[in-house]
Amino acid sequence: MAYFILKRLVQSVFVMLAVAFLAFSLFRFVGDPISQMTGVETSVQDQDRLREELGLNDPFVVQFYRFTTDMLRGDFGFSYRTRQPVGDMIASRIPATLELGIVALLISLIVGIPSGVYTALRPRGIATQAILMTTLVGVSIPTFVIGIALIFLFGVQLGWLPTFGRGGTVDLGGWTTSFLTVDGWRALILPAITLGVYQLTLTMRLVRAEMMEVMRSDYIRFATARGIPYRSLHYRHALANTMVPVITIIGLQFGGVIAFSIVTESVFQWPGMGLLFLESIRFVDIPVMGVYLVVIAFFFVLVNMAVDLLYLAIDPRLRVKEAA
Amino acid sequence: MLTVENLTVQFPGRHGTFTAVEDVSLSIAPGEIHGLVGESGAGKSTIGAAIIGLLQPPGFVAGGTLHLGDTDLRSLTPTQAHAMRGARISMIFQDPQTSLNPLMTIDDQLIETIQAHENVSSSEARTRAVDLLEEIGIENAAKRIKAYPHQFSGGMRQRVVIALALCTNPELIIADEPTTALDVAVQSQVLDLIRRLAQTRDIGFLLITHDIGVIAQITDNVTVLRGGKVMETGPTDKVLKAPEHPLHAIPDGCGAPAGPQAGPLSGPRQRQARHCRPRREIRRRCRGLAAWR
Ligand SMILES: Nc1ncnc2c1ncn2[C@@H]1O[C@H](COP(=O)(O)OP(=O)(O)O)[C@@H](O)[C@H]1O
Ligand SMILES: [Mg+2]
Repeated sequence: MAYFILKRLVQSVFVMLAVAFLAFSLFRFVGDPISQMTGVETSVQDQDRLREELGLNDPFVVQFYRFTTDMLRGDFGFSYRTRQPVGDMIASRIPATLELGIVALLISLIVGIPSGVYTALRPRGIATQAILMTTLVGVSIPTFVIGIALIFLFGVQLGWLPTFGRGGTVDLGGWTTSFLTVDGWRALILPAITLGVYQLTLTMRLVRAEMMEVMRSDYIRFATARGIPYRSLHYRHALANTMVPVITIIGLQFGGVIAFSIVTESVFQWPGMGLLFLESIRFVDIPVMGVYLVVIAFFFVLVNMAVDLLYLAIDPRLRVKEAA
Repeated sequence: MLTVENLTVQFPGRHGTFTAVEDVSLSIAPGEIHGLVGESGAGKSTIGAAIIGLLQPPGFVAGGTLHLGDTDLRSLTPTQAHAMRGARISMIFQDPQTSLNPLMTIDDQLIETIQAHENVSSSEARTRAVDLLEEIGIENAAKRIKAYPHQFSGGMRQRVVIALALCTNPELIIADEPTTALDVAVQSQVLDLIRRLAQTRDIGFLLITHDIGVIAQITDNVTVLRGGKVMETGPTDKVLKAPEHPLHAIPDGCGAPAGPQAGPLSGPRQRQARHCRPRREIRRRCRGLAAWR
């Protein structure tokens, strides 16, 4: 098991290095950093001096090494646009994106798992057919259309919920949360549903498919032949086995939820990392774009590790094999 | 004890109804091991499933009677039938690698089964489970009962499966190819165990197999099945000695795993590899899903 975790760690380091390399190349080769930092009135001599001072004439490897170690020390450079430290800019946007992603994930799990189980256990029921049809529609409509439809219905027509921004937030030592005010929750509902719909349909269909497969397995047939009560058969035996593969995929998808919250954030003007990324693209603010990539990659790596550990916790076959 | 008369099982399908079992009669007394032999597809498993009430839909019992003691098995409601499973009839499947829930310890599975049918405390159920495992030939059972299925060898796992089928003291156990997936050496140990249990506990066994050797080794009576119909039935030695009997024509194939000579990666071990879904396969599925998006 230790080997398993170590292997994952090493893999993660390589993934992070690759992404850092990408971010660095972006910074170094897309446009000229010096001309971004200086104005037209700076003389060529001054530009060259700055270039030398910043080490931009050093060999490539040295520059990449410096870039990486700076990042590890928490020095992410400065934004071309606002001249603020990029680290602070991103950090201030993380709570909005994470809270949105977590609520979206919770919605998808709370609705997706029970409906997946239900539709697996009653494959021919009318409710099952209705749910499957609905989710098929849910998968095929693009996220931004769902967002706009929700805004139109609940924001504009019915006027029940706010349609942009985070509403009321409370600052908890640098972490701004929406969870502590009614206003914050109200603002969270529509974007979280929009972001969660795809994950929800995926979870439901996955749970359904896995559950149906597990229900056909020998150990469920054997448990049925022993007269184990149906409730335990479905929820203790079958659902637990269903969760082994489902957790992996839901976990990996959660990384995607965070990364692709860009669309939802822009539809709802949600002040998260995704919106910041869009703004930085518009202003060719390359340091911000690079760091965003690195942060998202880091997040993916973290989620992956968490999924692995969860997987170990659920499935005894993956733990150390001591002879019985 | 068990009386099956004129049993007919049908599977309705798109191209008409398929009669998998036709007009089959047999009876099993307490303590009797009754062999049910026939080539693959003869309808052996279907008969077992019909008796315990677990026919795969759309299969259904189209005719005949099924009696266990005084109970008419066909007249039971689904709830009554489920309460009877385990308590009065149990079943053992072919592959011990896949018959046990991989995520639950042996004692969880045994205790749950006992408590599903009897109102006993967990500690009482555990004591009974440990005694049973010892009786069945698992040494150091008090300690090993806390293990997971994958920590047992194939033969030991089949013993655990037998313990699970036995722990509620059923009158009848249907054993569907219980030794087919096992090594030859382990096979005869498990057969000896079944023989012993039938004698000491007066349990009737319906032993389903395609293997004449197994029939010869432990059954009292045998029913020979072909194409869903009974070819021959009677005491085992009589049926086997009859010179004109058609058993020699039964092919030994059925995709059964070969014996130990087949090398280290055949049979049960391969099955285990498939059963314990590795992360790689899940990754592969992820990729499929991503494409679907
Ligand atoms: N669920 C099912 N649907 C349709 N046909 C089935 C089903 N299960 C079994 N059969 C048919 O019933 C026949 C007997 O199958 P089975 O009882 O499994 O044979 P055996 O156990 O003797 O190998 C086979 O021809 C098979 O095709
Ligand atoms: Mg069969």
